[in-house]
This record gives sequence, C-alpha cells and structure tokens, in this order.
Amino acid sequence: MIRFRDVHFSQGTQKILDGVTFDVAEGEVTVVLGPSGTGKSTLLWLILGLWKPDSGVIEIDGQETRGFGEREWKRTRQRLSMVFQENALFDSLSVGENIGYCLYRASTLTPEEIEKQVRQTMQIVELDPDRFIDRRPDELSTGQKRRVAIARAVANCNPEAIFYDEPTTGLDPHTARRIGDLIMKLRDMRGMTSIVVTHEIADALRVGNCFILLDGGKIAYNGDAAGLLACRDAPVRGFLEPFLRDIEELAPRVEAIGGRRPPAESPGVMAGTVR
Amino acid sequence: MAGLKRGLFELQELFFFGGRVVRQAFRRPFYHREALHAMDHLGVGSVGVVLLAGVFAGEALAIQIVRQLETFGAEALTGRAMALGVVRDLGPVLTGLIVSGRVASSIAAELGGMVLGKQVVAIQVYGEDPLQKLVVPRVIALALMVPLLTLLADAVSILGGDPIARFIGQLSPAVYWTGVKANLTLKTLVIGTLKPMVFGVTIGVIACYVGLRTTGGTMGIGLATRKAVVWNSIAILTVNLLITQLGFRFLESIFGRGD
Ligand SMILES: Nc1ncnc2c1ncn2[C@@H]1O[C@H](COP(=O)(O)OP(=O)(O)OP(=O)(O)O)[C@@H](O)[C@H]1O
Ligand SMILES: [Mg+2]
Repeated sequence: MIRFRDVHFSQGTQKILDGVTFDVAEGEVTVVLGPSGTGKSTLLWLILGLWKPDSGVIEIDGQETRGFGEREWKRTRQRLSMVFQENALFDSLSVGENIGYCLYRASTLTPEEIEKQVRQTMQIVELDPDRFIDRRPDELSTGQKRRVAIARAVANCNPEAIFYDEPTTGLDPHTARRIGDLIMKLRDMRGMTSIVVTHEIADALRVGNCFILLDGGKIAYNGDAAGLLACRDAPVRGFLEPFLRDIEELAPRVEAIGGRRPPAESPGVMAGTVR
Repeated sequence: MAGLKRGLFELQELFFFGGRVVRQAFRRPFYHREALHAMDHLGVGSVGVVLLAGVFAGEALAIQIVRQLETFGAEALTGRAMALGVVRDLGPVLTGLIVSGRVASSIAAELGGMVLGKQVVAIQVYGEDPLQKLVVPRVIALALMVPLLTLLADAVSILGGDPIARFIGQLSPAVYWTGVKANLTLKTLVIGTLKPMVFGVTIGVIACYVGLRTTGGTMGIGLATRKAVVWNSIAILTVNLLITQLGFRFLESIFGRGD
C-alpha cells in the first residue's frame, strides 16, 4: 500500500535518509526499529506529506505523491491516521473532544452517538470515561495523554492505515500489552494497515508481521521476525544484542519458577549472541 | 547587506502569506466557532484598556489643541480639531498599538506553542488547513473588532476633551460639541473605520505568520512574541501614514476636496 523507492531526505546539511527502499503491505503490521535519531519519525512525516523528500519516490496505493497539491494531500490524509510521538493533543479541547475530533468534524453522527463511540474507544485504551472525558489534556499524566492520543487516532473516521510513533513508550507493561492487542485487533478486524515505530522489541515481535531496521539513514534489515533474530549483520546484532541478553538472563530464572520461556527465543539465536 | 536581503525576503514571504490568508478567507469551510471565540477573546477582552487609554490620550490631545488655539484666540475651534485628530489618527493608531501589544503577542505565543506541540501538523494530518482553521478566524475577528474598539476609543477621547475645553479653554459645551459635529463628516468616519480595519488585518496576519514560524523551543516562543509586537508597531505606523496620504487622494476623488 505504501512504497518507498530510493528516498533521500536531509534537514539542512544533515543527511537523514540515504536511499531508503521498502514496501508496506496492505493489512499488515510493519514495525520500524532503529536507534534514536535515525529518522523513524521522519519516515512517517514523509508518508503524510508533512515533509517532502529530496529525491526518490513515495507511493500510496500506487499513486506517486510527488505531484500532489494541497487538495490531493487533504484527500489522502483523510484515509490515514497517526499517533504522534509528542501526542499533539489539542490542549484547548477536552479529552472527549480530542478523541472525537474527526467524528465531530466530518461524520453525520449525532453528538450522542459520537459520545458513545468516544466512550467505547476510551474503554479500549483503559481510560475511565466518566472520570476523564471532560478533563483537559494538561490535567493528565504522561501515560494517560498517550492513551488519549491513541484513542484519537483509532476513533478517526475509518482510516485505512494508521501510523503509531512509539505507541507504548512510557506506558506500564500491562497497558503496553493492551495497546499491542489493540493494534493486532484493528488489523484483524478492519484489515488496517499499520506502521509501528518503536524501541520496545518485545512488543514489536508480538504485533509485527514485517520488520524494518533503520540504521544510519539506510535499511539495515527488512523481513520477518525469525529472519531478524537470525540475522548476522553487524547493525542488526548491535541493535538486538542488549535485548537478547535480557532474554538469556531472564530465561533460566523464569524456568526456575515454572514460567514459560519467552517465545522470541530460539536455540540458533541464543548460540549466536555475542557476550 | 545579508541582513537587508534576509529582511526583504521575509517581507516578501509575509506578503505571500497575507495573500494566501485573504484568498482562503473566501473559501469554505469557514470556522465560525473559532472566529466567534477569537472575537470574544481578542476583541472584547481589550475593551477596558482601550477605554482607559482613549480617555487619557483624548484629554492630553485636547490640552495641546486648546493651548495652541488660545494663542490665536481661536479656542472655539477645539471641537473641530478634536473630531478630526481623534477619529482620523489618534483613535485608530492608539487602538491599533494597544491591540498589537496585547493581542499580537498572545496570538504569536499561542500559535507558537501549537507548532511546538505538533498540534499544527496534527490539524494538517486531519485533513484541515491550518491557515483556514487558525489564521483566517483570527484575522477576520480582528478586522471586525479593531474598528469597533476604535469607535469606542474615539467616543471616550472626544468625551475626554469636553472637560478640558470647558475648564481650560473656558468654552461652553455647546460650542465644543457643535464643532465636533461639524467635522464628523462621512469622509472622516469612512477613513476612521477603514484604517482600523486594515490595522486589524495587519495585526492578525503578522502575528499568525510569526507564530506559525516559531522554532527553537520555549525561547523561540519568546522571540516570536517580541517579533510580533515589534513588527506590528512598525507596520501600524507605516500603514497609517500610507493610508493618510494615499487614502486622502483616493477619497478626495469620491467625496471632493476639503475636510
Ligand atoms: N525539525 C528538525 N530540524 C532539524 N533536524 C531535525 C528536525 N527534526 C529531526 N531532526 C533530525 O533528524 C534526525 C531524525 O529524526 P527523527 O525524529 O526522525 O528520529 P527518530 O528515529 O524518530 O528518533 P527517536 O527514536 O528518538 O524518536 C535526527 O537526527 C534529528 O537530529
Ligand atoms: Mg521519533
């Protein structure tokens, strides 16, 4: 559905993307991994046309976006939805108005129906509607703001694709898991194409069908989970190593107390872990 | 030299921006809720300051006029001079400067905060035009509210001249007010209303332009706020002079010569 062909992008003199090529398949969850500052967020901004690439081609549904004018962008963006890393909640609106933003603006639903939908969405992200619906964003904790941001993107008027920029960062493991479930549910029930930018490899492995590792402005890995864990390339190993070590250290302890071993583990991978 | 070039470039960008705002103002959708809120917040909120400044400035101007005219024994003309001076220049400029200090800074800071919080991009991502949603309502609100505030300032300034004429100029109120009425011609009123309308647009466009270009964190917001007020003060004084000069020629061709 989304396709990058040799995309280059710089900010001032700093080269950020240096010839990036990949496809995001329709109805799948594509995870974008990579160290801080490699241009993961930039990738999403480019898809949404908020920034323009220096060169290369970005296609959405087979349409090249280079020649898009404001009107085409408007129409394209209405089919997409985004959870910003910074949340980007409208602080002059209440939580309920934020979540229902798109519905209030563009749908034919009555205010009561919209409120019902907003409440349902709040339940999904585990925010108590009665307590929070009338609050202002600045009266919320970091994790609560995050949930409102996710709820707003999800409640959007039936987007075809949804982009999550670090959706679980700053959330407790329990909520992070629920958010992961939500992303998978949206994919399975509505066939929604998703891109998840994240640092949390454990969450990523659970929700992703397809993995892209960005490093130094280039694609260091593009493929499935098993391939990612088995990959021997230096940037990939460098990125995964701390995580794999965690698993290795945790696994015996988990076994000792009768727990199940983490699913990501496989003998081949563990053998290849660099200490 | 480089500074001058950059300055000219920014001026050009500002004009393009203003052009786009004017064009978008006539396109749908029109965000009337935002416009009403801006009128209330930006306009009604300024009434107190404008009234206060209007009275004092009116009295000060009246004192000068009475003193000057006394030396020619012409203090009976105080009302006439007041009406012209206040409605054509003092009222609009005073109101424009007050609003630009109070409102331009707050618009620039508010939009600057929205840029940094990524709210402006979020608006774009939701398929809306930030220009239409954030800028047009504010500019329209100012184009309507600054003239109204100016009329208020005019009224209290001229009222403030009354006690001065009475006690310092030893004039009877009837003489003062007859003079005022004689010079409140249609032409004067048209100039006195059009000017602040242009000021309102100028204030809104400059403040939004500066606010939307905020970069560099909270310090950037501080810089944007200051820039908005400084640019606006210069713009108002320049535009005032231009309108007084060019506007005269133009209006003379409609209303004929004379005051
Ligand atoms: N507005 C900007 N102006 C200039 N440079 C920028 C700007 N925004 C980002 N950058 C640079 O672009 C690079 C990529 O930024 P980006 O936000 O895409 O990184 P990221 O991979 O999302 O990082 P993180 O995981 O920390 O969110 C960074 O090195 C940053 O220095
Ligand atoms: Mg990022």
